[in-house]
Amino acid sequence: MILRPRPPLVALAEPLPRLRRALSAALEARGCSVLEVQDGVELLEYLGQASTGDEDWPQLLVASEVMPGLGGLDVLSELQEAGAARPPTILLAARAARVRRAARALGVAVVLDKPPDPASMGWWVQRLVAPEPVRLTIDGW
Amino acid sequence: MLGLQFIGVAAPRPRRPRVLVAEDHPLLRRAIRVALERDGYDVLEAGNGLELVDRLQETMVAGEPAPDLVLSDQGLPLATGLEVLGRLREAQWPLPFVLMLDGPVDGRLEADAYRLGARAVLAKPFGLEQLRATVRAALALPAEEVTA
Repeated sequence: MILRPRPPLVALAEPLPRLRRALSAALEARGCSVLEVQDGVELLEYLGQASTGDEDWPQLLVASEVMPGLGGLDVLSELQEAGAARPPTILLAARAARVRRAARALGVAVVLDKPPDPASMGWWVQRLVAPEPVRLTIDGW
Repeated sequence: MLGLQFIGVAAPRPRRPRVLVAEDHPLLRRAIRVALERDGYDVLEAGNGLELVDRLQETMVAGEPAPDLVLSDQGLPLATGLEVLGRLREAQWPLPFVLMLDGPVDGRLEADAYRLGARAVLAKPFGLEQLRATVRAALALPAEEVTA
């Protein structure tokens, strides 16, 4: 029987498939488990299911500012209006400086230029994703 | 207890199909609403079983078009989805109804839902595509044919 910490779950919302795959690989290389969605509506739907306990609540959101349907800030607004918790969030934006104020108001931890510098994103992921010493999985059970 | 009475007013069908979503988890309710609105539906919301009945009665009293579909969680506070569905059938209101069940699906609840005329049973957690397909099928709409 091996006890090991459960990898932190990151919800990644990015509409561009190639960028999404690259970001996902980078997050997995940092030891994260990644839930990929391609737009904000899918992200909100996942969070809705997670809020009932039917899915795991992510420890971190990495979301694009602009997505079909709902953008990253729209999703955070919906969470706020529903009175739901907002996971720490890294927002990816083509012109990061333009959205920083709105992002800060919605509790975004950091806005990174899109595509993000891997080292910078890795640093923020390490900082925002706390290890989970209590949640354990048991191999073979 | 629920005091539901169908007064038999045939409302004209709205251009955009109306879906009444009854779900007690606010974020999931919001997510379903946003997803359906993006697909071109009008969405009404209820947070418990009595609110669901109230919404239905309000539409009748106000002379508004009745919802084309009720999408209801089974585990609603105050009155369960099946209790409301039973009342609808007692009132001889053949409103299309989809019951959402917390997975894994309880066969007895599923059978009761179909016996009472539910169009579909949707097990949680479900994906957006599954939600869309179920709603379209329950409304007997062709695939991808909802007008925004």
